[in-house]
Amino acid sequence: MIEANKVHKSGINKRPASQVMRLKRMGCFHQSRLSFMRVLLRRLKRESWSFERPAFEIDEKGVGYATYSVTGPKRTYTLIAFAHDLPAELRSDRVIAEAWDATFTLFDGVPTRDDIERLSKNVPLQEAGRISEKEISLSRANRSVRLFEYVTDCLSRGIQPETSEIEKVGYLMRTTAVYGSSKFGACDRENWANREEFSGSFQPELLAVWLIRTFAIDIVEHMAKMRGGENAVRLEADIRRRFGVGNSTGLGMAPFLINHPALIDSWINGRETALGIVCKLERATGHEISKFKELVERASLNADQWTTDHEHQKAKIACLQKDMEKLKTILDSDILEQEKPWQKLLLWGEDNLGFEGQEQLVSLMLEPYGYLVDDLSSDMKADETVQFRIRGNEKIADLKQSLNRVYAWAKDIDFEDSQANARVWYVSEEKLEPRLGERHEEPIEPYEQPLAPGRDAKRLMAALETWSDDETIAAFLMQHAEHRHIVRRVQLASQKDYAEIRDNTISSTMLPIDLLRCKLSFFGATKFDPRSDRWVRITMYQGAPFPDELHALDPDDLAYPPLS
Amino acid sequence: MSWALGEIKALSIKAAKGAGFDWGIAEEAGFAVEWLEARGLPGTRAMAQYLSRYHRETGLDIDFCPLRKGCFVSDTNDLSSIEKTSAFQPVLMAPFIANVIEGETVKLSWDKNKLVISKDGVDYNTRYQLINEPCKLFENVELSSWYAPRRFLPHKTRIGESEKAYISILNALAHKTYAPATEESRLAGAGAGLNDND
Repeated sequence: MIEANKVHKSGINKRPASQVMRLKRMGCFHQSRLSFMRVLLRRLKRESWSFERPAFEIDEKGVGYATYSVTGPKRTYTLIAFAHDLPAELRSDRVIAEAWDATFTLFDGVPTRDDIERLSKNVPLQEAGRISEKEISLSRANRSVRLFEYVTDCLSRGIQPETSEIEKVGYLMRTTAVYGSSKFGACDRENWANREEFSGSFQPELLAVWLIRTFAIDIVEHMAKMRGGENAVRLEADIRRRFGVGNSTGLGMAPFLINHPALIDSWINGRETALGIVCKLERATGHEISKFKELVERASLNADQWTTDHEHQKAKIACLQKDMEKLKTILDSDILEQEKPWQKLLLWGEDNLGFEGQEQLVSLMLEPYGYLVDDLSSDMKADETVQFRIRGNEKIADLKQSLNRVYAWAKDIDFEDSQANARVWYVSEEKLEPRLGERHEEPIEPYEQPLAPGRDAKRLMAALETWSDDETIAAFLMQHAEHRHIVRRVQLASQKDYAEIRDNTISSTMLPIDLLRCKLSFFGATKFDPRSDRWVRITMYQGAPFPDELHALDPDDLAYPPLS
Repeated sequence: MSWALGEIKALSIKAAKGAGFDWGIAEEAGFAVEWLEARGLPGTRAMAQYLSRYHRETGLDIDFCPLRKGCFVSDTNDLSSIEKTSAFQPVLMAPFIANVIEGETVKLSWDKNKLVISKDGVDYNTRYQLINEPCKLFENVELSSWYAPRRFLPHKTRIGESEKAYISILNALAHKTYAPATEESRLAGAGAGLNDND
C-alpha cells in the first residue's frame, strides 16, 4: 500500500489554499475516509482488538461506575464511566455547567481499585478536579432527556423504539467536552504520540467517545430493566446502531484551527492529497463506479435526514439536497466512463454545485479508493515544536515575499473599519474559556488573544516598509518584539500551504460555526446542527459498529446510512 | 498531585503575557519552561520568580532580560552576545543556547553556578544557588565551550507538588489576561441563550 501511495502521490495536482482555506468552504466540509473516527475503527478491526466490561456497578437510580477495557497488540486502555443522578435543573451543555449525567476518563492500562477510588473523587468534578499521567482524556455527557426516557420506557415494556423517534435526536447521550493532552493534569501527548495505535490525530479521545456510546446503551438498557423487570428487552442490533453519541461544541474549540497551523495543514493536506490522487486516475473500474453511485444515494439520504432549526444551516442543507439530485443526474451520463473521470467530475462540481455539494462530492470521491488513500491518515498529525524556532538569519526580503504570497488577501481589508475589526477573541475570567466579544461595545480589547493573523500580517507589512530587504529578521525583532508572534506564523505558513485560513477572523460577518464544522468534519462528525452562530450540535459514530460486532461488520461501509 | 509539562507550558505563556510581554516572547517563555523542566531543571520557579519581578517593576531593564537575550541568541544562531554578560535568572537562557549549539557542549556560569548544556541534556554542580529568591541581577554571567558531561540530570515528564507555590504565582499573572465576566458576555460571548436541555 505504501509503495502504491508513493507512485500515486507523485505529480498530483492539489487544490490551492486560496480556494480551500476560505471559511465559507471550510464550513461545508464533510466526514471522509480520512476522518479520525473512521481511521480508529479501521485499525481496531484490522488488529482484532478485544473488548470487555470488567465492572458495571450501577444501582437502580443509575448511580455508580462502569469500566470498559480495550486491548490491542501492545496495550490495554480502560474507559472509566461515572454515572450520576442529575436533577433536571442542573443539566446544561454549557461549559460553565458544574454537574453532568455522566463523567469519564480514559485510563492508560487497567485501573486498580485505588485508581478508581482516586478518580471517583476527581473525574465527576471535571475542570475542578485533577487527573494524572495515567489518564489520557477527561470528558462528560448529558442525556438527551427526551430520547433517553422514551427508549427506557419502550424497552421496559418489551418493545423496540421507533426509528423515526431515534432519528429526531440520534443519540442517548451528548458529550459536552472531551479534554485531552495535559488538560487538568492528564498525560502529555508527547508521552503517547509515538504509539502505533494513536498514529494520526485525536485517536485516544475518539476511542473514549466510541466507548461512551456503548456506555449510553448499557445504561439505558439497565434503567429499562430496573423499571420493567422480566418484561424488559435489550435493543436489537440494527436499531441500536442508529444511536450515535451527541456532542455540543461551542466557541472553546473555534480558536483551535488558528492556534495549530501546522496541524491543520497536515489535516487539509491529507485530504487534498487524497483528492489529487483520485483525480489523477485515468480510468474508473465498473466496481468503483457502482460503489460510488451507491454511496451518492446513501449520502443523499443522509442529507434528507439532516435536520436543524438554524436558518443559515437550513438553507445550506436545502442547497445540498438539490446538489445531490444534480449529482445523481450527471451520473446518469457517461462522465465516469471517460478518461480522467474524477477530475472531470470535480470540475463539473465546481461549476454546478454549492460549497456543501462540492465538499460532499470530494468526500464521496475518496470512498472507492481506500487502498490508495487510507494510509495518508498516518501523516495527519504535527510535531508543533519543529517549526517553533524563528529563522532569524533570513532576510527581510524573504519575509516580505512570504507575506505577499500567503497574506495577499489581507492587503485588501481595511482593518481600521469597525466592521472589519468588529470582534475580539478573549478568554473569560469565569471559566477560562475562549469567547468572542464586540470590540466597539465591550471593554475587552486589552484582553485580546492573538487570533487575527490577517490583521497582524498587515500590521507587520506596514512595520517592514522602513526596513531594507537585506537586513535580518533577528535585527527587526530585536526592535519589534510586538511582531514576534506573527513573524513566527508567517515563517511557518510560508512552508505549509494549508496552515493559514485566508479570511478575516475578527470581521462582523465571521461565523465561528464554520471553524467548528471544519474541525469536527475531520473528527468524522455528521448532522451538524448549529444552535446559534457560535455553537453546534453534532452526531458521532451514528451507524458505526459497536465493540461486540466490530469483527463482523465493515465500519467504512456504515459511514453513510443504509438505503433500506 | 502533579502537573503535566504541557499544562505548565500553556500557563507560562499566559503568565508571561500577563506580566507584560508581547505574545511572541510569551510563547518563548512557554517553550523555555517546558524545555527546562523536561531536563530536570527548575524552570517553573525560575520563570515565576522572574516574571513576578518583571511585572512588579515596570520598566525593569530589558537589556538584562533572559528571555529577550535568549531570543536574540536563538534568532541570530550566535552565542557571542552572551559570552560575558549580565542577566536576571540566567538559567532561563539555557533553552535558547541549546537551540544554537548543535553537537557542542557549553558551560553557562554565574557566581558559584555552573550549568553544562548540551542537546541531550544538562548537568549542574551547585544546586542551592541556581534559582535565587528573590530574582536578582547577575553581572558575571559567562558562557564557554565545555566537555561533554558524563551524566545528565534525569529527564522528567511531570512537575511535582514542590512547585505548587510557583504555579500559583504563574496563575496569578495568567489571570491578568482574562477578561472579567459580565452577564452580557456570559450570554453573548459564548452564544448561548437557547435551551440546551432536551
